[in-house]
Amino acid sequence: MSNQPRDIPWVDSNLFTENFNKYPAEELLKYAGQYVAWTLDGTRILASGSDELEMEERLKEMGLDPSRVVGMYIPTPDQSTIL
Amino acid sequence: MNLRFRYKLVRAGRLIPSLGGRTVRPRPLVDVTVIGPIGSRVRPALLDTAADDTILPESLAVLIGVDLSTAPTGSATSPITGSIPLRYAPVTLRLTDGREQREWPATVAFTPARLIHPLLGFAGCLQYFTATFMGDREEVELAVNALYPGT
Repeated sequence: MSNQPRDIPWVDSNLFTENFNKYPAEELLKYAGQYVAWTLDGTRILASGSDELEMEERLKEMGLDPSRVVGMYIPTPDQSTIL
Repeated sequence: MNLRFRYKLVRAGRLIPSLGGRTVRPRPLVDVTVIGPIGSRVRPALLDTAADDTILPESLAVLIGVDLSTAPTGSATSPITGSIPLRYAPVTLRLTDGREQREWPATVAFTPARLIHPLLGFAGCLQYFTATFMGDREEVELAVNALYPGT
C-alpha cells in the first residue's frame, strides 16, 4: 500500500461515540434505513442517501470530502445485527 | 498503552425486554478508517468475535480504489442469510481512541451482501489484539499482541 493517499485524518472514535450517543433518538429515527454522513466529531449529520453511493454523491454536490465524514447505515428499529 | 472504546448506543425505537426495558442496544462499534490506493473512508465497524474474517461492503472497495477483478474469492456462511460471496484484498486499517493510534496492513473480505455494520473479525483485526469486552462498563479494550504487524 505504498501509494496510499496522504493527509488522512485520525478519527477519535470515543469523541464520535460520545456525541453519537447523545444525538436525539427521534431525530436519528428519521434516517432509519438510510446511509448518513456524520461530521468526524459525531455532532451533526451532513447528508443522507438510500445507499452509500447516493450519500457520497450528495456530499460531493455540497463540496464536502467523503473521506472526512463518518458514513453509517442507520438500522430500522426491527433490524438485528445478525448477518 | 491499550486502545479503549466506549460502546455505541444504537437506538431500538422500542423497549427491549432482554435489557430490562432499555431503548438502546450497546454495541462494540469502533470507527475504523479503511485506506486504499486512491482514498480512505471512515466507517463504524462491529468488533465481532464470531466473524472469521474482517468483512466490508464492496461499494467501499470502489470508493477507495481497491481492484477486486482478480481478487481471491471465498464465502461466509450465516445461519440467517446463508452463504455470501467474498473477495479478498489488502488495505490499511487505522483506529484511535483519542489517546493511542494504531495502523496496520490487513487482508480483508469485501462482499456485495448488504451489511448493517462492517465486521472487524479474526482475520485482519482480532488476530492482532487481545480484546477485553467489559459488559458492565460497556467498553472494549484492545491490546496489541505479538502478531500485530502495524505501527
